Amino acid sequence: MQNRYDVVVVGAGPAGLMTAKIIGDSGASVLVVDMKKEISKIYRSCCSNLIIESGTHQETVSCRDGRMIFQENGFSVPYSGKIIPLKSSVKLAPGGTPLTISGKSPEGFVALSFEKEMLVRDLYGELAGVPGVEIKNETQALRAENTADGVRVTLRRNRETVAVTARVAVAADGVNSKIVQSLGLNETRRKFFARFAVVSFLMENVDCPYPEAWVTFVGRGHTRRQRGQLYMCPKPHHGQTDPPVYELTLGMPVIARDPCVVEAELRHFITQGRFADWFRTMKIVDIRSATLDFYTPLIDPVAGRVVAVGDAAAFIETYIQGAIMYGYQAGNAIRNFLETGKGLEAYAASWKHSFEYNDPEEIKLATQGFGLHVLSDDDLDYLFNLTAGDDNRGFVNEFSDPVTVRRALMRNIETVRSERPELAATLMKFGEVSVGEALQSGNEP
Amino acid sequence: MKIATEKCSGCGGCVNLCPVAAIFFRDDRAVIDAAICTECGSCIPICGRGAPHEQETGKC
Repeated sequence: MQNRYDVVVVGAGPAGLMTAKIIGDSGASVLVVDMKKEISKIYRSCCSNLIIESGTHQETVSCRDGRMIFQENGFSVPYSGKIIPLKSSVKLAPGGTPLTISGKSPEGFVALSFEKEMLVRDLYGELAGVPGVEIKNETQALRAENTADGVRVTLRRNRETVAVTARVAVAADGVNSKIVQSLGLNETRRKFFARFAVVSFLMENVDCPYPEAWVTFVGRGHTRRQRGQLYMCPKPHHGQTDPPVYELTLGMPVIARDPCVVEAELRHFITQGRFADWFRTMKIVDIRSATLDFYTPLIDPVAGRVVAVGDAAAFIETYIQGAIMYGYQAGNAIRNFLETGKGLEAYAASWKHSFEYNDPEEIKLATQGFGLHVLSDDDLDYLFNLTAGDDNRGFVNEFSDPVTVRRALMRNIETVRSERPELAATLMKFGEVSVGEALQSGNEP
Repeated sequence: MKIATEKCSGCGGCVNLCPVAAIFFRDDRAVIDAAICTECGSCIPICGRGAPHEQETGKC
């Protein structure tokens, strides 16, 4: 490893790999670092292994002939894995009543489920062949500092600290980016919700009555502790889709006096929950986890010579397709900067304009979805039962999902008004949470 | 503080959230450097799998 490069990329996930590839293709010297040993192995729970609604981040993504194609930006990346089309989004109330949202894409899909590990392996494989690109695993980045004519990144490798300088650094180290934090950029971001701890089980042999569906278990009654977000999705695994592997994920707010309960709750759900039958003969093939704090997005993802890409700049996430797309855009902006001394602002402008959560109204819309947890188990079963036979259409993604659900429930508001007037009044209040209320730090809605 | 390696998925969630950067990765599992760790216990509630624990008692 040298001590000076044109660009240092921190994080070899989809965003970092993509950014590094674009820059490396220009002949610049690029150092990519990642704390993992096996960079193309996925250890982290990630629910966004999905190709989602056309128009998200102003882009339409499709898969064809071993490529993942980004139509508006005009590029593609290799993807040699398989796809499972999801035809519906099924929300299950604690009593088991479904609210079914059918696919709204021209083919009738709510999303396409792909295999992140294979995608990362493909991106890594492409990058590893580029001259001038050095990839260092087991190397953790601790901080970045802007200097007079560039940036200094402090790395830790084998318990030794070393500083590397570059003209530009890329923060692609995920949703709680160490680089972003070290620059003090979190001080201007509002903290939202509590910290979440997530655990997921990847399982074979699940007998799910809703195959080819994104299943969300809505309401408090699914877990013993009456809180958390629980959902399940079929995924291709090790290149196979038949039979699919299901990933069941539980995310819970971290409460200081009640630690390390997420895995225990998950085990309880599959052995003694209402849907335990689905998991009678299952076999766990992998366990993943994640912990994250939620910050409002970095409206300006460029801080001096540091460019934040992917989840590092986001509220919650950019989805993997977003990480790759913003990596492409940031990579091109940085290439331009290396050649002309200008260009980073083009990426910043695109991010500001196309990442949905940069619009406070979008965060407000997203919080509508969380209103469901205010409702009692019985009210949820009652409301979902009213939707039986309705034709509700939509997509799986956090930007439009809450609106779709609200619309599905409000279809029957007159019936609710006559049968459960208090519930109707509560429903009418969904979506009236002000942005200010929504952004109060640490408050669970 | 110590991390029970068999309970650690290698998700890295604790690494960036440790207030003193005492946690690092070895062979894709989290390890706490006792020389840096201040025993604040912040890592315990972060992990949904209960991997970090106090040294003597193994309490999670």
